Amino acid sequence: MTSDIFTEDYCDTLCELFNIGMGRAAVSFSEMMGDEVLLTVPSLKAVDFNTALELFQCISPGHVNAVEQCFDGQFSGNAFLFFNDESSLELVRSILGEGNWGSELGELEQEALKEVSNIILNACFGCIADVLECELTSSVPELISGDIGDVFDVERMHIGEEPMVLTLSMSFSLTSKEVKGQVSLIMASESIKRLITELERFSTLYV
Amino acid sequence: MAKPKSVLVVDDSRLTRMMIVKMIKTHHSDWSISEAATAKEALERVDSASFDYISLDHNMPDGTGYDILPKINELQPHAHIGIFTANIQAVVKQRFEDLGATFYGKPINEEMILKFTADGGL
Repeated sequence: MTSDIFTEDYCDTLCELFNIGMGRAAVSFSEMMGDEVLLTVPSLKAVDFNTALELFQCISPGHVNAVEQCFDGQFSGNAFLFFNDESSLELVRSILGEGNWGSELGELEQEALKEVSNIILNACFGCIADVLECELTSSVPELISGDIGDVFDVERMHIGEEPMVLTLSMSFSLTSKEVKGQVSLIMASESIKRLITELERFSTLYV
Repeated sequence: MAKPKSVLVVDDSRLTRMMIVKMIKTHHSDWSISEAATAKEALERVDSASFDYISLDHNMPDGTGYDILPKINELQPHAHIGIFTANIQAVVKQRFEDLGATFYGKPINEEMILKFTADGGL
């Protein structure tokens, strides 16, 4: 699914950059886990903010855990790595070992989730910045637990005019456990335009 | 003068295919280059034509490099095969090398492509 301004070609380019970033993240992730990380083929959707909210409410009507990191540079926005409760707990068990973790995330488990997300999101930021030859800085990761309305809280995010949501769906799993994660970027239209300018500049090198 | 070579570029990302094609064409304008966007298309191409070089992606929507490399090896025993993937884990690299392919981690750059097209020793 593409929007009017975010065409299929831009989606393909950004998707490939995320794919490379996730590949880099998988190296660190597999070292943490001592196991091979299997990655699926990523797909990217670009929709306006309200449509994204509706879609997320349909796909994940219940409780979700999302780690948020803001990024800033030539373009800026808020990046989220989503896990449902089951995936979050599987991930924590994989990192911290089997234990009586219960059904809710405690402080240690939250730290583990934030650290994994930090590795994954920064690998994606790093790859985008390296390939597009720009600089992106990122904030400290924050864990948000709740329904999708709590995660996509417009007042907290200060996301600017006409925000758009770019959602990358990609799951990663270990040999024995499946952990599904999804990355979403929320960017104001002005920032999307700057991202598109960078993608255009990059793509023209290879036409 | 060296005979022009034939190359098959397999990758589901149009961008990556464009990059590889452009980089090869820059140095070998007379080489013929075919593209495949899926594992299925790749198998169709290797079944119907002969290639000197094959660049192969790993994660594709309809199959992986692991799935199709044995068949490609069987049909194109003389082709130099380079795996170009974002999945740069050591275990993945080792598995492809055991299957006789050369491994290159994305992002792709010109040096990598030059090495790939020189590595074949054709």
